[in-house]
Amino acid sequence: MTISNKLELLALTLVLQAACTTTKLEYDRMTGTAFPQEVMVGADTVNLTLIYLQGNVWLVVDEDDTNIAPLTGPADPADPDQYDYITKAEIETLETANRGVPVGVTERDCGWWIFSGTCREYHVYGIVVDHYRERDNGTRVTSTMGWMYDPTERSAFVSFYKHSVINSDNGKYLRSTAHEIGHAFNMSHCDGDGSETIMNQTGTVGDTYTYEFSSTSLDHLQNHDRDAVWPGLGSRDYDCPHVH
Amino acid sequence: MPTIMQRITAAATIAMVISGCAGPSGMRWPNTDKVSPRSAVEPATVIPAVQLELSIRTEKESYYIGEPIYLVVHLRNTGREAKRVMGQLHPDDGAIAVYVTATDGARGRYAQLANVDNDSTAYRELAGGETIGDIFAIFFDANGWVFREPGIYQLDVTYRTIEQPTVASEVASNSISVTIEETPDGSGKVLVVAGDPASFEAGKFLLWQAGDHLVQGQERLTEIIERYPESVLSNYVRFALGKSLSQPFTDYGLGVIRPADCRMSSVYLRAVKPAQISENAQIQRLIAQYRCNVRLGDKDSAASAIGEVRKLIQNRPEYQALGARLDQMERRE
Repeated sequence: MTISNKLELLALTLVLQAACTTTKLEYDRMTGTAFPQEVMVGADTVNLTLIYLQGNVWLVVDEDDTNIAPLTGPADPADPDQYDYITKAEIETLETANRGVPVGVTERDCGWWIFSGTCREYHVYGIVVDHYRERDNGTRVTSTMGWMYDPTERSAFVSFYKHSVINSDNGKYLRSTAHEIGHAFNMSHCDGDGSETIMNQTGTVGDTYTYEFSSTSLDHLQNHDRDAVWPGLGSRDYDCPHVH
Repeated sequence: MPTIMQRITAAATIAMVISGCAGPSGMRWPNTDKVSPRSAVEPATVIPAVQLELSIRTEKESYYIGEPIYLVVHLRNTGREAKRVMGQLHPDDGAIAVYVTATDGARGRYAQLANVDNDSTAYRELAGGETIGDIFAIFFDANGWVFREPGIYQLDVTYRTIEQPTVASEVASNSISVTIEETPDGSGKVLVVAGDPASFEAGKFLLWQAGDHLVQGQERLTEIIERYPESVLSNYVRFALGKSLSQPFTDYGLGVIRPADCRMSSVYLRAVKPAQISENAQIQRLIAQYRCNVRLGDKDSAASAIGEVRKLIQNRPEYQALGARLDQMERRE
């Protein structure tokens, strides 16, 4: 790390501490699954926190419950793999049972040296399930890596660990997770550059992905109205350019 | 004034960050300059799609408030050469955007309840002349009931996907209108109530035809059946409750899997008047009956139900995925 880098980091840290705004990801997973791990890009380590630091967002990842047992029932001869799939309704119950952090923002007084004010912590909930996705009409999908399933408040997402890429390609798994968190920050697929950046769907980027945001995504994260950016505050925007 | 401990903590934090030992980032990343909106890559350019035709329709033109509305979407390759398309046309999957324009001209996008990240297998080649399709509910979304007031609503859809790096192509559908009316018996006003959590849950349950945890919603739906047994809405409620009970529900809130209750499911589903529900709901109702007949070992009734479904979905692109699922279910019967 160069002196210049350290000074930049220090400046950024001071700005973030002064703003005193963080987003906490409460991250749970089922037994038999794993969280996405850090990857190396050249000589650099990349993880979810660093990816979001590009947008001046301090994402604190709290790997919380790692031992949620998938429920299974008696085998149904007519549908022997039914417990390999999970519906939106069932995922809602998972969140209800396991989410510890509130939806939205928590505030606290934060006296800090010469600074005195209110610190804000926004919240996202993520869970890795040992399932595939089942659609509302009962059809079953094995191409889905993850989804943000609570667009009402933009507060929660899920990764499907039975997906063959999620459980075998950590680099894409990390990318997909950053993508879903992006929806919680109100970013859209049309933010993507159609080639490499995070808000493209994984099927779009193939093997040539980066862990970078497009200009539209960065502008949104860095400059747009806070209520339209931070998770847990409001419904989704879907269009580009962002209309809020 | 800060305390001594606060000063020490602050000083230690700064020292650790400068030394590179701590902080939110162990090292700065990325090392390129792509961290500002000005220097980052631009979003994909959007161009009109060629040799693709998008069409939409609903089963009928007039609905009651609270009545489930399903939209059929077809995507056709009008050319001779195959095109790479997103094979899943549900709004959840990201390629389809549904727009609803109310009587007063307010136009909003249907806010589906999930945003999906799909892998490359979600894409497929669409041969020249070939049509794919899907059918999905549009009466309820992340913001609640979509059609809350009587009036005439315009619907249109766009399909957008990446055909080549940095270029997205988009095609718009025809525009159609649906008329929303008050229910003659007032049941719609009991079901669709803005800002009411029970009404919100009831909408979700009708959308999913599942969700044991939506207790308030199910109570509201049961109230509809009890107070307005002859209402069109009551038929949809019976369908939703019956379908829900035809399959197990994994409830992590309670830590149990509620098994299928085919007896109660049958009570609800048999009370549905097929002529008063949409064809899509009728198909789902027959599949629910099929499931229970298989579980109960009633092969003749199961064959009858699945035979009816096969007739209804034959040669209809919007039911292609469902047909494949039925093949799978029948193989395992």
